[in-house]
Amino acid sequence: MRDRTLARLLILPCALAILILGIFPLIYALHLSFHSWQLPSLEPQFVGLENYANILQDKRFYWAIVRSCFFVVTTVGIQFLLGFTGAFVLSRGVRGLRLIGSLLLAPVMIAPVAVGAIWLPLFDINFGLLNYCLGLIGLGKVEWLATPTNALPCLMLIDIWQWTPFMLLILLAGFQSIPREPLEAARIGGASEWRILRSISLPMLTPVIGIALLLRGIDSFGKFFDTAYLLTRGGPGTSSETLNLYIYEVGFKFFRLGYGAALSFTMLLLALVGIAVFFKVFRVE
Amino acid sequence: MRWPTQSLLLSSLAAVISLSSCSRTGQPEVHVDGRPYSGVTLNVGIEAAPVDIALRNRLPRIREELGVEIQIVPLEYGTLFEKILTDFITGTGSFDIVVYFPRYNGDYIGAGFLRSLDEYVQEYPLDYLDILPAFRKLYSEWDGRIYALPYDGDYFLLYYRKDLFGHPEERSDFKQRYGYDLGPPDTWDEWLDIAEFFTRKPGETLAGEVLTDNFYGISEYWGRARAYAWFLNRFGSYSGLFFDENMEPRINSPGAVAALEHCVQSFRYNTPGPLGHTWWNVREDLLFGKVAMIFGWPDVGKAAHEPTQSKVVGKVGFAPSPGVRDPDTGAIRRATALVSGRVMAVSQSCQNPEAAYQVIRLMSSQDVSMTNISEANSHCDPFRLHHLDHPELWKVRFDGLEEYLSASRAALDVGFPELTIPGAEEYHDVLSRHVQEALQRSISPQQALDGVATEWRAITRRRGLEAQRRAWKSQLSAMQQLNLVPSD
Amino acid sequence: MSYRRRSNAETMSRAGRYGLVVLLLAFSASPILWMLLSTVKLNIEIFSDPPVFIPQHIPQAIQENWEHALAPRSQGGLGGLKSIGDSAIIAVLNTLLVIVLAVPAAYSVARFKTGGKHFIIWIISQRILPPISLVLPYFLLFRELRLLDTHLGLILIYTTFNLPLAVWLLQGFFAEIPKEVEEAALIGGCSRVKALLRVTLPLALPGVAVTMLFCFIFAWNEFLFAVMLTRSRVITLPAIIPGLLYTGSMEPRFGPLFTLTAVSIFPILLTAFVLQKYVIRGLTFGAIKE
Repeated sequence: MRDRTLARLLILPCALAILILGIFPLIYALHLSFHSWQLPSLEPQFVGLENYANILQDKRFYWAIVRSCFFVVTTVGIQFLLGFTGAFVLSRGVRGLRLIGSLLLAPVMIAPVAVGAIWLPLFDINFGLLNYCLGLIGLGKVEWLATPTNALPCLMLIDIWQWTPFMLLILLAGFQSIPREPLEAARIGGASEWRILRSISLPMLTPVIGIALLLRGIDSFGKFFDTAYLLTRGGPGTSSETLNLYIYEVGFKFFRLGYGAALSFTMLLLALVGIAVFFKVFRVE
Repeated sequence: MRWPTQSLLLSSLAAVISLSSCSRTGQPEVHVDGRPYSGVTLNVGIEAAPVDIALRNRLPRIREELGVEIQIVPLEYGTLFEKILTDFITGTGSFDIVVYFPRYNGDYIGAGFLRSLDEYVQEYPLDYLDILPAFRKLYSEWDGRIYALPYDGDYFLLYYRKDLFGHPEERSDFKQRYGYDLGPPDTWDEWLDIAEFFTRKPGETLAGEVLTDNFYGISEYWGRARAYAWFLNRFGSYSGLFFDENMEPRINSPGAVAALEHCVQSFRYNTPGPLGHTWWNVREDLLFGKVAMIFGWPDVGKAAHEPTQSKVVGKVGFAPSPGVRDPDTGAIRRATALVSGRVMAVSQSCQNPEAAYQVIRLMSSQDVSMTNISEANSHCDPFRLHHLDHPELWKVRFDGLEEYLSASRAALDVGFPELTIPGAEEYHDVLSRHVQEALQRSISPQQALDGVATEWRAITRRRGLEAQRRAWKSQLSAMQQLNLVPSD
Repeated sequence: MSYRRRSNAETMSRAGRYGLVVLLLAFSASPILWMLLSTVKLNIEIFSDPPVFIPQHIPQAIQENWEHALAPRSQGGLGGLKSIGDSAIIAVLNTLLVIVLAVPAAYSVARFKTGGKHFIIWIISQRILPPISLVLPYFLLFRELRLLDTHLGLILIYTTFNLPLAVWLLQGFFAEIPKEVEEAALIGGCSRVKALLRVTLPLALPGVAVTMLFCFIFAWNEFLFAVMLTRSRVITLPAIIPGLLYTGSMEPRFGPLFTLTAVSIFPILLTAFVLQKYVIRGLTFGAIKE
C-alpha cells in the first residue's frame, strides 16, 4: 500500500468520529439558536436572529460575563503568582522533589464536583473547620457561601486550591528545563538573583508560562461549573452566577432550548475572541 | 376489620373491570393467588431517601394486597423535575407512577403527561373528602378532574421555645417593652417584636442565665432553592394574589411589598448565613437551642422530642402561622404556604394504569397513609383529617402531639398554594432570586418585586399568554373557593 | 567573614525553602486529609462544634459509612457499588475506544504529517469549546437516538472530548521514536501496520499508558454530561454527589459520601504516582516534555 493512502486510511476512523460526534452537534446547536423552542412544546419556531437580539439586552447575561471574566483573570492570576513563586523556590533544590510533586498532584486529579463536596463542610458556618480556625485566632464567624460578596470569592478559593499545584508543576518543569550554564555564568558574574530571574529565566520560560496561562484560562472560562453547581447554583441572588451556570439554568433548568443554544454560541465566540487577544498579547511580548 | 371486606369487594370489582383493562393493555389477568394485580410490575419515580422511605416500608403491604411489584427509581431532589419532564417528553416511559411536588402540575398534567384518575376513582372509591380541602382543591385536581393523590402533605408551623416564652422574667421584660403579653405571635408584627426581643449577645442574660454565645430570635431558610416559600408565608396573609384574572402580575402589589418588607426586617434577627441556609440549618438552629422560634415544616415536630436529635426536648411548643390584623375589623388574616408536599400520579405511558391507580390509592388511604405520616423515620406529613383527628393512631408519640395536631389543623385550614401553572418552577426561581436580592438590601422590596413582575410577564409571554391565563384561571378559581384571595 | 555571612544566608534561604514546601503541602493536603478523617467519623462527629479531631467510634463509623455508601439506592443507600460499576464501564470502554481510534490517527500524523497545520487548529479548537454549549445538542440528539441514560451515550461523548487530547499526546510520543528503528523493521520485511504494532507501539508504551490514564480520568471525573444526560439507569460516581447534599430535613451524610470519594480517587492517584514522570506532559496537553 502507498504511504499516502495508508496515512489517510489510518486517520479516517478518528476523523469520522470527530465529525459525527463533535461537529454535528455544533451545527445543530447553531441551527437551534435561530429558533424559539420552549419545552414541553415539541415544535421549534424559526425566529431568525431574535435570540441574539435578546442576548444583547440581557442584563443577566452581561453580569454573567463580567463574573466569568473576573473569575478567570483573578483565579488564573493568583494561581500563576503562587505557582510561580513555589516553582521558583522548589527549583532552587529541595530534597524529595518527586514525592512533593506526587502529593501536589492530588488536588488536580480529584473530580471537581468531589472537590466541591470536600469544601462544603469546611465552609459550614457552625461546624466548619475554617470558622473554627478563625475562632482560634480570635476572629468572628464568616458566612462563607451565604453572602453575595463572599460566594464568588469562595468558589475562586476552591479553584485556586485545586489548580495552583497544576500551575506550579508546569512552571517547575519549565524551570528545570532551563540550561544551567548561563545561570551559573551570571551568578559568577555577580548578578543578583532577581536580575537573573528577570533577564535570563523569565524570557526562557515565556513559552511555558504562555501555555500554562492559556490552558488554565480556557478551562476556567469554559469548564468551571461543577463546584459552583454544587455549592451555590449561582446564588445568593445571582451573585456567583457565571456564564456556564446561566446557560445551564436557561437551557436545562427551564428548557428554553433556542435561547440556551444562542447563549452557548455567544459564549463560544467570546472564548475565541479571548484566545485571539491572548495570542496577540503573548506574541507581542 | 375493614380490609378483608374491602379487598374482597376490590377483587370482585377487578374481575369485572379486568375485561376492559385486558383489551386496553393486552395484559393477561393473573388471579392465581387471589391478588388482583399479580404479575404486574410498576416503576415509581420518586425522590431518593429519605423521601422514598415511606414507600419502601409499604412495599410488602402493596405486594400482599395488590400483588404489584414496585421498582423504585430514585431521583435526586435537585434534578427530579427535569428528569421526569424529559422522560415524558422523550417518551422514554421510565415511570409508571411519579411522586413529585404539585407545583409541577402545570408542566406535567397541563401538558398531558399524566392520566386523569376520574374513571378509577368512580370505580374504586377512596375517602377523597377526608383529604384536607387545600390539598384536594389546590394540588390533586386540575381543570376539575382528579389527577394526583397526596403522598406527603407539607405545611408550615410555628415552633417556639416554651421554656423561654414562659419564663417569668422574660415575660415581664417583654410586657414592659412592648406593652402586651409574650406568647406565640398572632401577627407578623408580633413576630418581629419577639424576634427582636430574643436576639441577644454573649454576656446578656436569657431566662436567667448568662449567655456565652450569640442567641437569635429566629432562623429562616433563605437559600436560593426555597427562599420564595418563606416569602409566600407572608405573602399569603398580606396579599395572596399572584396574578389578576388577565395574568397581569400582582406580585408587586402594596400587600406583596409589605410582605417582602417584613422578610427584610426579620432578616436582622436571623442566625448567621441565612442566604445559604437549607432546611436542616434552620432545623438545627432550633434543635441545638440557638433560636427562640422558627417557622418551618412539620417534620421538626417529631424530631424536637427525639433526644438523639434534639437538645430542646420538651421545650418546643407549636402554633399556627401568624397573620395580618385587619385595622378595621381586628380580624387576623392568616395563610400557611403549602410548599414541598408531594403527590403521586400515573403517567400516560403506564401500561397498567388501573394497577397504578390502586397503588397510589392504597398509599394515600386513611389506614396506610396514617402509618406513612406517623412513623419515626418517614418523611411524610399529615394531609388528611383522619391524621389530625386521631392522635391515638400515631406510631410516634411525643408530648404535645395533640397541641401539634391542633396547630396543624389551624394551619391547614388556611393552606395557601404555591403556583401550579406551567413553568411554575421558573416563576418561583425568579421570585427566590429577587427575594434574596431584597434581603441583601442591594435593592428595595418594591424594586425587587417590580423586577419579578417584569420577568414573570416575559415568562408568560414566552409560554403563551392564552395557555398561561387558562391555567392560572383554574388555579385562581380553586383559591377563590377556599377563600384565599382577598376580594379587593 | 564573608563566607560566614553567605552560609548564614544560605541556611536562611534553605529554611525558607523548606518552610514554603511545608506550607504548600499543608495548603493542598489539609482539605483532603480532613475529608479522609471524615470517613472514619460518625455523622454527629462531623456536625460537631468544636470539630472532632480524634474520632471516637472509628470501627462503628467505618462500618456504617461503608455500608451506607455501597448499599443500593432502592434500599436507601448511596448506590456506590452500582455507580462504581457504571463509572468503570464507561471509563474503561471509553479509554479503549479512544485508544483504538487515536493510535492509528496519531501515527499517521506523526509519520506522514497528515492534515498539516489544520490538524493543530482543529485540536486547539476542540479544547476551546465550552462543554456547556454542547450539552443541549447532545441532549436533543440522544433523545432521537435513544441514547439518553445509557452507557453508550456517555462513552461516545467522552470519546469526542478525549480524542483530540489522545491524538495530540500520542503523536508527540510517536514522533520521539526514531524513524530508523521502524525503518529497520520495514527493511526486514514488515508491513507498515506490523511495524507500528510490533516496534513503535511497544516503544511508546509509557506514552500510551499515560494517554490512557488521562482519558480514563476525564471519563471518571466528568460531571456535566453525566448529570444532564442520565436519569436512573446509569449513574456515574460524580453524578450521585449533588443528590447526597440536598436531603431536605436530614443532614447530608458526609461520611459515606467521602468514603465513596476516597474510593474513587484512590486508583487514579495511584496510577498517577506511578506514571508521574509523564503526567506533566499529559496535563499540559503535550506542550511540556519533561
